[in-house]
Formats: sequence, structure tokens, C-alpha cells
Amino acid sequence: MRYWRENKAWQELLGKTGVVVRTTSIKTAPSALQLYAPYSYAIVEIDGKQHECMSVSGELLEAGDHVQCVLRKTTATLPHEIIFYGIKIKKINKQSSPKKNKSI
Amino acid sequence: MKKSLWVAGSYLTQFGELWERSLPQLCKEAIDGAIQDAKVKPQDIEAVFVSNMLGGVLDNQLHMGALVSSLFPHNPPAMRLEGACASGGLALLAAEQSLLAGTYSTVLVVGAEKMTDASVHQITQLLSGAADIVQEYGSTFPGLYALITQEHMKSYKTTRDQLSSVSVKNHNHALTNPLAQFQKKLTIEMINNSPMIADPLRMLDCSPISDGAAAVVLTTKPQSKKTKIIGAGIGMDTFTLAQRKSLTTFEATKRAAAAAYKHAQIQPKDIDAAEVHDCFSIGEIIAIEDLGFFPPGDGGKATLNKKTTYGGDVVINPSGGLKAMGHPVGATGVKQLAYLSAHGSSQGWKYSLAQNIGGTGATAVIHILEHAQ
Repeated sequence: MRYWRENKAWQELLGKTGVVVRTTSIKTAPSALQLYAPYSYAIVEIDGKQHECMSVSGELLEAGDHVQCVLRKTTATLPHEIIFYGIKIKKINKQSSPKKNKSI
Repeated sequence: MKKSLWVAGSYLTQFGELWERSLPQLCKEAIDGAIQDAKVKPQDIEAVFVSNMLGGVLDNQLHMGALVSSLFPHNPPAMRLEGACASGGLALLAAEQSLLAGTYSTVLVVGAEKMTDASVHQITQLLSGAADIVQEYGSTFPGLYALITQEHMKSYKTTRDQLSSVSVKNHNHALTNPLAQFQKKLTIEMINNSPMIADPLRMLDCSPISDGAAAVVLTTKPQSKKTKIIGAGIGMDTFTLAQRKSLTTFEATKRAAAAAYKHAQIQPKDIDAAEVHDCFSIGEIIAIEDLGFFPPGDGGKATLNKKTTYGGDVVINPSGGLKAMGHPVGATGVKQLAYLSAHGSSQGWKYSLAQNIGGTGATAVIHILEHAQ
């Protein structure tokens, strides 16, 4: 139920672009996330508001990088379990970022 | 404080990997020790305040108040308080409020945690529950403190060696504390070369996973040659880092400290020693700035220049702190008060301070103590 409630908020960020303000690369993660380590965890400015997001697996970000919010698997699951998805950030080329975010 | 509050007795268990001891056994040892130190009978304890964060999720042991009450012959009223790593500070505050309100005249506060039965990954996951599990999904505690560290390094040019000097100093202090988890001398080079956990925080910047318990008996009955609690305060801040105006300061600490200094009617310069929340090395640097011991941005420099050890301006974390004495999360806030009250007079300190943080500074509890001379 929590997952169902949370995924209704995805549309607020999905597809939007932003700039990394501060980032760290996480080497040791909880067991459900260790599959994705190392990954970046960052404070990102999107539409003038700061958000915290993890990057897609293996992506090592730096402050100033332009990123886009994408939908990705967020946790390791067993074959018979529901696959959990959520918002992560992915580095994009600087040229593709200046477009103003549109509401979707 | 409207009434005088005394620490009548205190007790600390060994901190570390205590495989042979369970959570209730740790509680029992700390309770019996504090009662004995206070020279009271168990039946003199009118209520018990219990600090524990993880018992419910690690051991499926909830209802900790009743469990601890059953360790007494008369089943006194008992309640558990949880505020992540600030659980101990919150339990102390609740106990103090009950004394100040006149509900009770003698109470006991016990903090305990049993963490080493679980894997590192499990503890990392459970501790990340002290952050916003939706808005900060994917974060880890080292990861969040790493972001804070980067901001401090960028804003104030805080260096790698300055960060490492916190752990070096706290491990040096723990060499004289037989209850510490680690009695091992570290060098700046050892810390600088330890494995990276979340850039720029390395393994030896991080406090360990620990078992341990602490207890204090608090009373409004006048005590001779005992420590008094002369100031206390609690402060809160935004739950997530992204909402903070600044990452180089903990607003919660500043708010709690302002209230505590006002109660105590003393200034930061009057404090001789402090136990602060060095869950990560940057935590101590920010704490000594927020508490007014050093100007913003000077905490790292002051630590490297030995101003925070014996012979310096103020002794920070004489017990070894969370880094070297250990960090059984539910016990830590109570341990700070227990350690300071047990050692204040013999060290010749007049005033000492304890700073206990929950999460990444969403909760802060400050206590100021006056020691018998």
C-alpha cells in the first residue's frame, strides 16, 4: 500500500532535469541497495527546489552535473517478489539540460 | 532550572561486541549499578525512563518499558522514548520534566542497545530509518554526513587532516577509559588511508556498531558532593537535508544550546569539558562550533591544533566519544551524562556539557552539569 501511495508522486519529478548541488559516492549500502553500489547520492536543484536522490547504478556524479529524473528499479528482489521502482537521477549532456521543465 | 536536579548515581557497562549479553541483561547491569552507586534501594525508584531505538526492529522486542519495569521488585511506572540516536537525551528530558513537575522525586533513566548480533548491512538499513525513508531513499547515514562534510570543506576549507584529528584525539582519550570499545591509538595517516565509506568519509571517521547500556538515578532530594543538572534544552530542525538553509551548522543544536545556557546562566567559555555527538568526525567539528566553543569554520583547525584535548581550551569527548568508546544508539545520550557526572569532580571540571543528536541533526538535546568541587 505504501508503494502504491508513493508512486502517485513520481509524476512530480519524472523526466525533469536539474543540477547537482552536492553529491557523495556511497560504497557501503543497506543489503537491498548493495547491488547498486557504488552509486551517487545527491542534493539536486530542480525547478528552484532542492531534492535528495540516488543515482542510477554505477553513476558517479559531481557538483554541477546536469541530471534527469528517471524511473528505475530501487531494490534487489527475489524472482517471486514484486519489482520495486522509483525515481533515480541520471547524468545528461549539458546541451540537453537548458530546456525548461514542463509539468506532466 | 526551577528546582535543583541531582545525578545521585550512574553506571556504564562495557561498550563493544558483547556477544554473551542480551538487551535485558545489559539493562539489568546498568540499573543495578546506578542504584548501587546512588546508595538507594530499588524500591526508591518511583519511575523509569527507557531509551532504546532498535530493539523493536532488531530483536522484535517492543514494550521495553514493561520489560525494564519487570527488572524491579515493585514494577515501577516505566516508558520507552525513541528519537533515533537522541533517544537517551529525550529519556533524560522526560525524566527531568517529571521531577520538575513534582510527579516524582527519584527516577531512573536507562539507555541500552544491542546491535552486534546483526550484519553491517542490516544495521545500515535500520539506521537509515532515522532519515526520511521516502524523501531520502537510497541514503545511508555516512552518505548524509558525507554531504555535510563536503559542504563544510567547501565553505571553510576544512581539510582531510583536520577531520582525521577528531578520531585521533578521541582514540587517545579512550586509552584511559577501560569501558571503551576501542583502546587503540590511531594516527592521521591510518585514518586518511582507511577504506572509503561515502566520499569523503572513511571508515575511521565513523563511529562503530556497539552493544552497551548506561543508567543514571536523578533526584530532587539534595545530595552532597554530587553532580547537578543546571541546564537542559531540546532543539529540532527539518527532517531532510534538502530542506536545510545551511549544511555547515545544526540549527537544532544551536536552539537546544541557547535554552540550556539560559537555564544554567553560564556561557560557552565556562564549560570545561563536553561529550558531543561524534557519530562521524564532522559531527564533532560542527558541534564545537554550534555550541560556541569555536567560531564557525574553526572547529577542524582547533581540533588539529590540540585545543580540544587536555591542556587545550575545552576537553571534547574525554570518554573517547562515540568514535572510540562506542555508539550503542539508545545508550549514548545517557552514557554522556553518566560519564561526565562520574568523572567531573575528579577531573576538576566545574561545568560540563552533553550534546546528543538524532538523525542528521533533526533532534538535538543539550545538558549542562555542575560538578561538586
